[in-house]
Amino acid sequence: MRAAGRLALTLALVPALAAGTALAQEAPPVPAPPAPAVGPAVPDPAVPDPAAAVTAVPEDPNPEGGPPLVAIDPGHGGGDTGAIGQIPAGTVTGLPARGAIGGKLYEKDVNLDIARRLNDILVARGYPTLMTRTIDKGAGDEPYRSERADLRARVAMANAAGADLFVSIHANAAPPSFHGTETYRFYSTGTAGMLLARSIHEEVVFRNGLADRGVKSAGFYVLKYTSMPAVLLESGFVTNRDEAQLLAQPDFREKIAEGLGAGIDRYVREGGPVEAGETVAPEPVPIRFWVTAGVFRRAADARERAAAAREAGFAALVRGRASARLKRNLYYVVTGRFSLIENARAQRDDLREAGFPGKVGAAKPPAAAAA
Amino acid sequence: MRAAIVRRYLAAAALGAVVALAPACSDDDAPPATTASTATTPATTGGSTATAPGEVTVYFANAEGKLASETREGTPDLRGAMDALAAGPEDPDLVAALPAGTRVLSAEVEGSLARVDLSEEFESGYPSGGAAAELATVGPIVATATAIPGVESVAITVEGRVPQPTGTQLDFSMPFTPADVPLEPVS
Repeated sequence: MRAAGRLALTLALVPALAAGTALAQEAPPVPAPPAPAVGPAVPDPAVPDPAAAVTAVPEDPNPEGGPPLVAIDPGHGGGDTGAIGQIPAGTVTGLPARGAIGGKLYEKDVNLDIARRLNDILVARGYPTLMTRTIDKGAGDEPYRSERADLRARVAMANAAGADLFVSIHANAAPPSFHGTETYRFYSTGTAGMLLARSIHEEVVFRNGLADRGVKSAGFYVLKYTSMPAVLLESGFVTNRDEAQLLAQPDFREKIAEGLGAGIDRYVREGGPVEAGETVAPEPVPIRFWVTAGVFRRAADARERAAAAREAGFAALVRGRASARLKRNLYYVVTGRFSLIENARAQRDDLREAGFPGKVGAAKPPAAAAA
Repeated sequence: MRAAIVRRYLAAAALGAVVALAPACSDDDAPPATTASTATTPATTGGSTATAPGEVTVYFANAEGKLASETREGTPDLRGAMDALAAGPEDPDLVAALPAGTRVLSAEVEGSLARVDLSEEFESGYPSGGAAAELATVGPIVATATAIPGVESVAITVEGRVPQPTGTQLDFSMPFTPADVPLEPVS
């Protein structure tokens, strides 16, 4: 298992691979779909028993000192479009044009774009990654054949590579009134899975600004059969008019990718080792410390600093807050949010080493009036 | 397209209590084995022999994706509950669970397992993606079936075989428990 992980780690660091080369040749052979056997008495031999997966969860996200191997799973692909939303014809999406006049938004395209952005972010920060698909095809960049074969292959890739975390990226669908972001974990996941789901969810909602539908549990295939902490993000609703238009924007998808990256970072820094097999939900970890790389009177200056910090590998974003004393808005370049002062100071030091005026703040989060 | 989406969720009421009779299952795609040890005697069969009329409780997702219930007159067994589910909600604020046109071919209880066999409209009209849409489809089936005393899990088949709707993130090859497809109850 670990040997496989090392192999995948080395391969995933090859730039060509990170840039989007198909992983098909590295992927383990996809087992044939099982004979349909609805019944708990006939477990699928090719996938681990979900109950076993609970105890097999590697609770320490970083057992060997290196960054964990992150499996990124862009939902759907190829003949499986995922949910379909409507956007105004002619919208510049940065995605393949869908529909006769480009008025459609395919979930599979949104998912893949966010996944590629997340991959770039993680690779820039030194994480080894594995994408279950890198192009508009099924798992392993192979043609989409059937839903079950596709889901099985995604799980098999991550399990065989010994991935430490699994992040499935989706967009939601429902009647048009539904809106917001929700994140799923497996219903009997360990504490690690809960912390991962919570960290990712909070960081994504913080950045995309959509309604918070919460962290939920369900028995989705990729959550049930992966043997590492796994989450499934539903970034927003393609069936909601406003959210479809947001998801169609490259900048908005970048915010979601940054949220995913920040959530993974936070989990790796603060998830910590927990008792194996523990299934009790921990108390939410309160965010008490903010790290900033500068405060500006002009939003444009803050954005420029944030861009430079991102260039240097920090998950920087701009948050505006009204200053009662100065009677005007100040714009903070926020690079991290932490519950432990030690972690906040560590990032501050990283910032200073990279030439930024890193500072730890402990007051209420600067949340109002985002720039 | 928007109209189509709305239609998917609002249609279904037309079916009424039409009861389609069909073979319970085909032979090669074996239907689920039971969770429980032994019991195999069908408590209910897919027949039209309605016995004592009574009240049946059906569940649907509401506009917030939460689980709401409706009570109907009907046969208080799995078959009666599934037919009521296929007929769709009476409250216009609730979301139809089964895709338009879906019929219940058979519904039987074996020990703690409910077997529900649906017509192919379930697979062809299944949501193409989205956790909320999937949970609003499968969640009410499982909630309605497991509301029957003794039922703990639900195996869903389509014309006797394991369905494989394009885009699903669920594992139809195993019976569903409420934990697989949970919907928060309305407060």
